[in-house]
Amino acid sequence: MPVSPPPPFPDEAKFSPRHANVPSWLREPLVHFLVLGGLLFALDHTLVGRTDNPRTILVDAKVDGEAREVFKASRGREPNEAELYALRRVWLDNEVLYREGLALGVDKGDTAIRERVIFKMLSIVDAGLKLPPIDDKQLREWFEKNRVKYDEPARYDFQEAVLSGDRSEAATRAFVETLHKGTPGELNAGLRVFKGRPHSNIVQGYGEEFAKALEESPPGEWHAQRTRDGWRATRLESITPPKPAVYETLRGVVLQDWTDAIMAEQRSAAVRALTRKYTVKVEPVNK
Amino acid sequence: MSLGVSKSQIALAVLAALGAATVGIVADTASADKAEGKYVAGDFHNHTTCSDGSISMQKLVKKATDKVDTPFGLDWFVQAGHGNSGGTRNCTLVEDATLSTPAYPFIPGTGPQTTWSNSIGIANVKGDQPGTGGVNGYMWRWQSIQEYQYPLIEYLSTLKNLPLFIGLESIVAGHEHASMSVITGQIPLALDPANLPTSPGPLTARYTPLGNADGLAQWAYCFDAGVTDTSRGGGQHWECSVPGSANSTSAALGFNAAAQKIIPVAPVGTNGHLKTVEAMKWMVQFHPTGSYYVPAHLERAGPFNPTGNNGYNIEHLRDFNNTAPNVAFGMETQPGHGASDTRGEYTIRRNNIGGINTDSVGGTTYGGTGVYGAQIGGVWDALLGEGRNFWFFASSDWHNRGSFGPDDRRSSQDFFPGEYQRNYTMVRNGDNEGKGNRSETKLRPQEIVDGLRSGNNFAASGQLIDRLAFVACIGNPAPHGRSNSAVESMAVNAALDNTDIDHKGCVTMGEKLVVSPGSDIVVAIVVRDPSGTNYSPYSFNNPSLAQVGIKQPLNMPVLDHVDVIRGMVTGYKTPGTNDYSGQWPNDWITPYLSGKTPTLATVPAGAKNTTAAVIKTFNDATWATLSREPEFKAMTFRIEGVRASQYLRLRGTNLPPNVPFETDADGNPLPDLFTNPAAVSQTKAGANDGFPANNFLRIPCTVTGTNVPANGVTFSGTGIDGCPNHLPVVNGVKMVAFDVAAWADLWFYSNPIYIEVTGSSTVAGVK
Repeated sequence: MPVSPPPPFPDEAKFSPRHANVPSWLREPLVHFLVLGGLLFALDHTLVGRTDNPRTILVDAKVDGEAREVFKASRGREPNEAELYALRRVWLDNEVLYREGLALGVDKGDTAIRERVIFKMLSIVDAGLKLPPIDDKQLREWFEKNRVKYDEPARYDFQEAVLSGDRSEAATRAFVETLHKGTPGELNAGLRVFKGRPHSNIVQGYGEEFAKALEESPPGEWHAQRTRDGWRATRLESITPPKPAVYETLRGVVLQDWTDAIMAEQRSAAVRALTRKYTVKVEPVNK
Repeated sequence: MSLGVSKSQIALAVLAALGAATVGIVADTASADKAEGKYVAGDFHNHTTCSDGSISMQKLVKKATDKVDTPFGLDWFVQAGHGNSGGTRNCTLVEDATLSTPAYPFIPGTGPQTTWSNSIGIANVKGDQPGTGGVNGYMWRWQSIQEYQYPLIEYLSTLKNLPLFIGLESIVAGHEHASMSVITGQIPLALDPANLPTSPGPLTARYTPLGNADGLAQWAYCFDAGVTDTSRGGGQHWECSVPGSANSTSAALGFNAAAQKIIPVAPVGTNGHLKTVEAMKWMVQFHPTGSYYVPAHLERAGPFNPTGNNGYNIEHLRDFNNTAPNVAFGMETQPGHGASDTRGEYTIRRNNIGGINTDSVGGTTYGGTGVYGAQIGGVWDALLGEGRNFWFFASSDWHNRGSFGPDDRRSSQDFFPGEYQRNYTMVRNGDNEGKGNRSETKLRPQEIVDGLRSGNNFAASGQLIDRLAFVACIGNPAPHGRSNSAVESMAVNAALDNTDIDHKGCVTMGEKLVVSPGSDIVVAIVVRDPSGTNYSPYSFNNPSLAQVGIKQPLNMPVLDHVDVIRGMVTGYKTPGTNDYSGQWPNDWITPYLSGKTPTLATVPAGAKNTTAAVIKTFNDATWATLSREPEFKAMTFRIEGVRASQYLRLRGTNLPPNVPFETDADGNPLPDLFTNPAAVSQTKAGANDGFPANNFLRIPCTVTGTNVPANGVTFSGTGIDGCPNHLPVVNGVKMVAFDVAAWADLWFYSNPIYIEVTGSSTVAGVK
């Protein structure tokens, strides 16, 4: 249905609550449409479907179809005739507002719109990507090159007997002596129990020096150990040795990872190619 | 004084508890004469379309209280919209016929988005009409509370037999917001029984209530900074002075004779604060036990700003608590908006103060809690270290679900009341018999407010725990001295019954135990870590825990450990002295950005309590599991020979210490910045030092799953078994953010138990 000028919508004066079957949202179309999730619908429709005369607005079956879907998702039923009529009116009002807004440049500087457009453009870029063929030998080679990602590192079970208050070296060593004697009731503030922590996590929490000392200490003995933020009483419980990954058992995961990696490379290359259309001037960073 | 505990001690204690409740007990079994009560879950901060929410009152009440359909089912509920932020929509109009009631039927073509002009007609909108409302009619909160929201909440409360009442999220003069209410007149006993109408009245009076919210409406007119109306209640001739308080009519503060209230003049921060102190005095004078005032998300708007309406420093909390100790008794330091792209809506460089984009205090939340409550030795401990009655609360701050509809179980903004955060409050309704004709089990607004005021309350997120008995008893000397096993038995029984203890010589949260120097204190903690699933729609493994090799479904969290925190009490600070005041450092978060941790050395003396520390930590290696009720975990220890007044409080989490970007090596929560995808502003105009979206995200979410709904379709089910599609993607990998970040990172906080040692500092805030 081509609409130019707009069709004769009902007299707005009739839209009051006393006319119970006539939606009052006509009074505030944008707000209600936002609630129905319709903004993206309008934006999407405009971005994808606006190929004709910019001064002509087409309210067609596609609009009706999407309006029905949005309404159904919100209310759980099909809109009746009056409600569909109202939704068309809402859509039209929003389309007019959207076009006028674009004409005024109100989308400029709006990060939400910018990100949405970027997302859609990335989808278009992705649609143009094509994965090269890969055989099992090549995939295995890629797996070996990225093996560190798949190998299971050594994992350490350890405990910390928590010292409350003074955490100096002297206090910690004295506390460890008490622990060695096994005096009942002297766990002080309690135990922290760590299971299966890899080296990287121990370094992150306590520092490299502590990690090395812990990992080399004999299991089952309390030690006063210096960490990045003070002394702690810790005890290595056990070590689970590292386990190399087996390609055959991970082939599906590896193939997906390879696909993601190649797609990312191709996506970056495609965007770089688009960048060549532009002259990029980089200003120095303000200091 | 020494602390000692061993696993064998605990095991023996629990055996005693389980073997027979009377084994090894008790020097003195006398009751402390408390009325009976239960811990009940509730929420007092949430929004409808009458302010800037997205759904009707009826839909919100159903979502918050329904225990089957929703199914978040809170036990009590306070609906509390903004003082004035939005005000053009009629939130009493329901969305559809399923929400119809005889007095408030569904009107096709209308709903909670319908304006006041298009429903009751603009002629019925009272007071000054600001330009912002235009033809839609801008209804001041005092009118919507008094004439529309209160009648509806009374009707729903009676119809559904639910403990509901109306509150307010006040836009505070001089500060960030506050959750408050005046309950006088609300839900009167005359409603027992009430004959509810079977048909609706006119749109302007669907239901004629037996009670009223006149006190709350007048408070909103007088003291809410968003209510700039000058009509004195549209002809009700309200005035806002406080007898005996010159400031309440001070022209220097901006007293407006026509409006009969203060409209703060510059400097609006300083004068606004003084106006808000008058609000406290007004409540003390006219509603001394029928009101409460709890600063909300109090770190969000940055520090106090003398020339604007920003945050709170510790001196402002002290001012409030000094002025109205029975009204201003706590803070909502665990904010809502838990699924937002800036968790809690806290972020760095959020607030323009004097041209500088200033951080929310602390920069962000920490495990969902603001830095005032989360930092051991920080603002909360400073207040507790004075012996104040100043309690920890959480809220949902429900508005909407961000990019999802209200019936979707995913969220990129808020959780419904009860869905994620809950206050569990001891409400003593055991003496109700004879009041009205209803069952004595009915919860009434006064009892709920009394419960909040008592401090006998804990807050938990993600249903991490849903029962807590936290008990301290005199261990010696006689006559009340008790053994560890006796106290643990008491706590076990209390937790099993969802109540607290009632024995002389023993106390719980919000109470103080007065002991002679050298006494032993026995502390028993029993929690229930509920089995089964929580309300998370996600069944894939917690990606935060996956970083350290732990496989645990997001919707089946397990309590990892409980920390006991102790601080010493040294008495109230004196107004005007140096250590009465102190602004939290604006750059608190900076060290975290380079993997370091800030220290309290940079915090002013008035805003910290350096005696506060974790004195015990319990986990599955050191707590005892009740054999007949394995969801319950018991922890008991003895503090020997106390010589100084102190307090004990608890926190617990599903995260062990040293989980990257979640907890540090001591188990403290790390900044939630690392799960906040929002872009960060520059420090000031032209500074070019902002950060793009997703810049700080660090925790990957890699589970693919087979039940992962698309973003554009409403998903009202559960069991999403892969990382959802609304998570941000960095370098091709989904990253933990939004609601997944919240469900991954769960905490509970108890309120404190005080121990007052005779001859040491007095715990003056607790009688």
